[in-house]
Amino acid sequence: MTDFESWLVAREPALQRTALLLTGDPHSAQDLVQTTLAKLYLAWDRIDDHEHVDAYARRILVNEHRSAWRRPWRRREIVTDSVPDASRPEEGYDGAHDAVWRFVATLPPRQRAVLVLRYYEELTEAETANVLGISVGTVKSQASRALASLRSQLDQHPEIADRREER
Amino acid sequence: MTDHEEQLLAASLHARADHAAYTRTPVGDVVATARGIQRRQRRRNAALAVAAVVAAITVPTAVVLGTGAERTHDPTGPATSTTPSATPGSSLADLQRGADPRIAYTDGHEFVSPDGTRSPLPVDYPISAITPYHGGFLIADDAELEGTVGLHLFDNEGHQVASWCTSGSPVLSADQLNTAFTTFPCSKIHGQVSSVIRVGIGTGMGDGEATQDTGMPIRLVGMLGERVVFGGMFGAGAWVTDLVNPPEVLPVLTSVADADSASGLVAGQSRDSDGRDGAIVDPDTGRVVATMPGWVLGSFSPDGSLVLGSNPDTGVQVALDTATGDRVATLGPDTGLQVTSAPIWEDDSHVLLAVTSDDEQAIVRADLDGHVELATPVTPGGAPRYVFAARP
Repeated sequence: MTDFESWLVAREPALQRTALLLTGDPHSAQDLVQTTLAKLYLAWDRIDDHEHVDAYARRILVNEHRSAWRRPWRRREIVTDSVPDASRPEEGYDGAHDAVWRFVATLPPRQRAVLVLRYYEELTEAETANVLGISVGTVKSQASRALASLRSQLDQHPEIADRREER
Repeated sequence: MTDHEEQLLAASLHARADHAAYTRTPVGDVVATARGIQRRQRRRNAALAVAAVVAAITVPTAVVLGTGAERTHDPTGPATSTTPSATPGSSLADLQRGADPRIAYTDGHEFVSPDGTRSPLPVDYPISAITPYHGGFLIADDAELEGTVGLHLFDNEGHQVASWCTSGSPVLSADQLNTAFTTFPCSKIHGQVSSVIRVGIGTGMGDGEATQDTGMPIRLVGMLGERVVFGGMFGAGAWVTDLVNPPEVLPVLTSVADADSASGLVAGQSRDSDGRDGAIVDPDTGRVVATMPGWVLGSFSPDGSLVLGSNPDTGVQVALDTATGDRVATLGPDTGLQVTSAPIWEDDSHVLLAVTSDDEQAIVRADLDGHVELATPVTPGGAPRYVFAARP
């Protein structure tokens, strides 16, 4: 097994999870991961510090998603408020989480990417800015706006507000 | 985490992703996809190297060119009767041959000066950008990797004296005396990229070079006198720096496309519209001089009176008045000619584009009346061979 294959076996699931959160549906996530892995495969010999492969793969994934979203054919797709069909998680999921996810799914791609990197990947603001190629200030403002919107949504959805009360 | 919303958000993301079922990607599929990407890169190497970085925001790679459908001009007049317009499915050979390009460009591995003089370049790889520097050349290769390419400095005898990684293309000052470009060590490509801006003598010999480490991955778009205007590597953000003080953010823009030294203005996408509208901005005051709703802005004309705009959905290219935002000319709806380089102003009323069609390629010239003509002979297709040298 080559180094690349070993890395693939160990790390693909993490990429799949992040891709699902970025794209919102498993089919697009699968395509995104495959393209990301292909680009990583092409660059493998240029990566002299394999300790940072995960970070590099994450950057390819996020930027490939951003590039794909910018393509003209993608922009002509009809945008709706509903979340695309997806395989539903079987455990650890409830109405509050579903409502929050529906909120996340309505965010613009870059803002969603900021949230995924900050609150799922648990990157720092600086690391998030580096992956996205934006300033730390932009990361802060994007996350702040999203959280403010979420706060507003919480006030309008009793099922989530109840969860808040429980804490 | 500082509040309940953040905790709930994190928990919801984990709940969504951590328990879903995923299908493993076979290594064979990865390799097959990689080979497909390599094939596309070979076919579009110039477009990828230049357009993917410089024009991911400003110019769609699928930009197409033709005559302005809504323009009204006498169809029997001499210009249109002697200059066949590109039509859907037409070949480049149908276009009339005009004058050679009046700006420098590369044809394969030759540098072609505005007077037509051809000089062999000391490289054997495809070129994505070129500009004079310190009596020699800065040449960017086409080994595109996540928006970056290799940048190589050659002296006036053709010897390579330095190499870095870079993003975007070098830019020239209005008087063409200074060249600015960015570098970072290629070993950092997978880590924390911090682009260093370098400004030195574009033409003539000299050792002086001013630098500034920006602390982030960036691409340059232009110079305002001795100041350098830049955006993020992937298009987001807009800054201006004098290389002495920390870069200043241009808060009214989400991205920046070009700077015009004559007027002191910059072109980009407005933050108020979340990047949907083009805007001409005074970087010193933040004043928005003009807005161009729905247009993604490109480069200023040499006199600064016009700016290129493109529709991200249709690829239609237009020239817009920088003072009013009005559309002055349409460079064309879809006619089947695919642009493989960022459009570049030849003078105040002509734009040059490297295009391909039906396995052919050439440089074409489009004017503000909607006419299109060949600026080079038509050559066989394949890897794009024409790259314009940097110009103000």
